[in-house]
Amino acid sequence: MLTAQTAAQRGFVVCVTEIRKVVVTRSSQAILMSVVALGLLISTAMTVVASRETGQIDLSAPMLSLTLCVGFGSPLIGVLIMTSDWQSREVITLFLLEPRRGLVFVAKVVATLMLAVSAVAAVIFFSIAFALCGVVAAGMPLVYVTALAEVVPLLVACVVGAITGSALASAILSTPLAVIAVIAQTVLVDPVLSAAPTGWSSYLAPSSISDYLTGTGRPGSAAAACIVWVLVPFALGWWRIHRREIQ
Amino acid sequence: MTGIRVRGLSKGYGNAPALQNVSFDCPVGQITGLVGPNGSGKTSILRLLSALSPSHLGTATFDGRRYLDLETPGLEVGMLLDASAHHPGRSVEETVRIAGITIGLGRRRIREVLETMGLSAVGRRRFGTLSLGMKQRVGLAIAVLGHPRYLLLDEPVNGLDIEAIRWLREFLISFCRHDGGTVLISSHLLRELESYADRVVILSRGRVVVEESMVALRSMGRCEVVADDATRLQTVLTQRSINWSPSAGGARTAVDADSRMVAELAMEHGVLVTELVPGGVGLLERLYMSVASSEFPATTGWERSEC
Repeated sequence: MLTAQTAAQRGFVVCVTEIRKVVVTRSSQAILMSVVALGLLISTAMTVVASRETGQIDLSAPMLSLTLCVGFGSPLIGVLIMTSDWQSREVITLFLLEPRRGLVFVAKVVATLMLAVSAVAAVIFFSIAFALCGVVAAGMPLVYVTALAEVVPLLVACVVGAITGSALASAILSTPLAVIAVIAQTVLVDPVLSAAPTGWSSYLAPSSISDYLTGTGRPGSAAAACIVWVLVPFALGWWRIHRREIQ
Repeated sequence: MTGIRVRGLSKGYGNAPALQNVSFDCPVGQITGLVGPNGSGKTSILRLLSALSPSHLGTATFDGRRYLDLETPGLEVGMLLDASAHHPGRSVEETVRIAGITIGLGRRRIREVLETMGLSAVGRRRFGTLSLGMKQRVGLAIAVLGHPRYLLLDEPVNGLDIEAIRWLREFLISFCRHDGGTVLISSHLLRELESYADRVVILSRGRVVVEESMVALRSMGRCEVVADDATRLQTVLTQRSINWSPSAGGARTAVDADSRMVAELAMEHGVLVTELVPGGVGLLERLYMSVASSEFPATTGWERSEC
C-alpha cells in the first residue's frame, strides 16, 4: 500500500501531467484559443463602447466580458480533463502508468481547479492590460473600484463552473455528450430554473451554489444544488471509473 | 525474487468465461512466451496483471506485490498492450514526454529513448498520422522508458519492419540475460518467438494447456537433421529401430530421438551432419496445433453459398 506522502506525490505528478495534456493537445488548444479569442473580441468592443458613453475607462468592462467567456469555458476545461483520455483510448496508457484510479480521479479534479484559478488570473491580467491600453490610447481616466468587487464572484463562478463540468463529465465519460450536457446546463437549465418563481426551482439551479458563495443565495438551495450537480455526478463518476474495464 | 506469478486467475465477460483458473510463472531472467488462438485469453491475462480489468478471481504478482501496490508501476513494469492507445492529436515527442513526466523522468531519458527507437525524426509528427509499425515503436519506447525490471508485451511485433523486429529480439535477450529482467510476451509469430523464448505458456479457451521451458520441449525426444548422406543416416536409424520420417520435402529427416543421440550415431557411422535442430523446426507450431483449439476456427477454404 502507498503511504499518504507517496500518494500525494504521485497525485501531484498526475495533476501536472493532466494540465500539460490540456496545454499541448490540439483539440484542447483549439478550445482554449477560441475562448481567448472570443474574450478578447468582446472585451475590446465592450471597453470601447463603455468608454465612449462614460468618458472614462472602467476596468469592470473588460473584466465582465472576459468573465463571461471564462465562465462558459471553465466547465469545458473540466470536461476535457475528465474525459479526453477515455475518448482517445489514452486511458489505457494513463492507467498502466498510474493504475490507482481514485488517485487519478482526484488529480484530475485538482488539475481542473488549478486551471480554473489560472483562467481567473489570466482574466484579471488581461483586463488590466486592456484597461491600461485604453487609458494610454484614449487618454481617459481609469476607474477600477467596481471591478475589484467583481474579482470574488468571478473566481467563484469559474471554480464552480469547472467543478460542475468535471462532475458531469466524470459521470458521463464521453467528451461530446459531456460538452452537450454542460452547455445545456449553462444556457438552458440554469437560466430556466433561475428565472422560475422562487420555490423548488432554486434548489435545482446550479447557480444557487455560486449565489450562496458570493453572499446572495440561500444555504439550503446551495446545498441541494451541490448534491444534484456536484456530489451525485462525482459519486456516479467515481463508481463508474473504478468499475469500468479499460479498453 | 519470484518474478511474475499468476495464480488461479479467472475472469468472465457476461456469462462467457474468458479465463478459468489460470496459473503460471515467469521466472526472473527469462523470456516467457504467451501463445494461444484468438480469444484464448492472452490479452485478458495481461490486462489483469496490469489492473486494467478491475474484478476477477485469483492473484497476479510481481515479486510478490500486486501491480496496484508498486510505488511507481511505470518504473518497475514496462507495458505495451495497445499501440494506438495515445491521443492522435499530440506529437510523438509530447506523447512520450507525457508518459515520462507521469513516471517522474526527465527530458534526457526521453530524448535517449526516442533516439534508440528511431523516433527522433518523427518527433514532431502527430501520433495519429503514424503507421502501425511506428505506433508500435512509440509503445515500445514508453514501455522501456523507466528502465523497468519487467516487460509485458502484447503482440509487439505486429507491424514492425525487419530491422525493428531484430532490434526487439536482441533487446529482449539482452534485457533478460544481462540485466536480469523478466519478460512476458504474447505473440502469434511462433517461429520468431521460438528463436528467443526460454519458456512457453500455451492457452486454449481460457485455460493453460502447456507450461514448459523450451529446453524441456526440445529434449522431448525429437529432432530434425540435415545430413550429407541422408540415406545412410536413415538406414542406421532403421537398424537401431529409431522412428524417422522425411520432412521439408525430403530435405530433412525428422527423428524420434534426442538430438545428442542422433549426433553420436551419425559420428559413429561417419555421416556428416550439416544441421541438427533439437525439437525440430517449427517445434512450437506443432505443439500449438496439437494442444490448442480455437474458439473461432477459420474454414479451410472459401465455401460457395447455394443460391
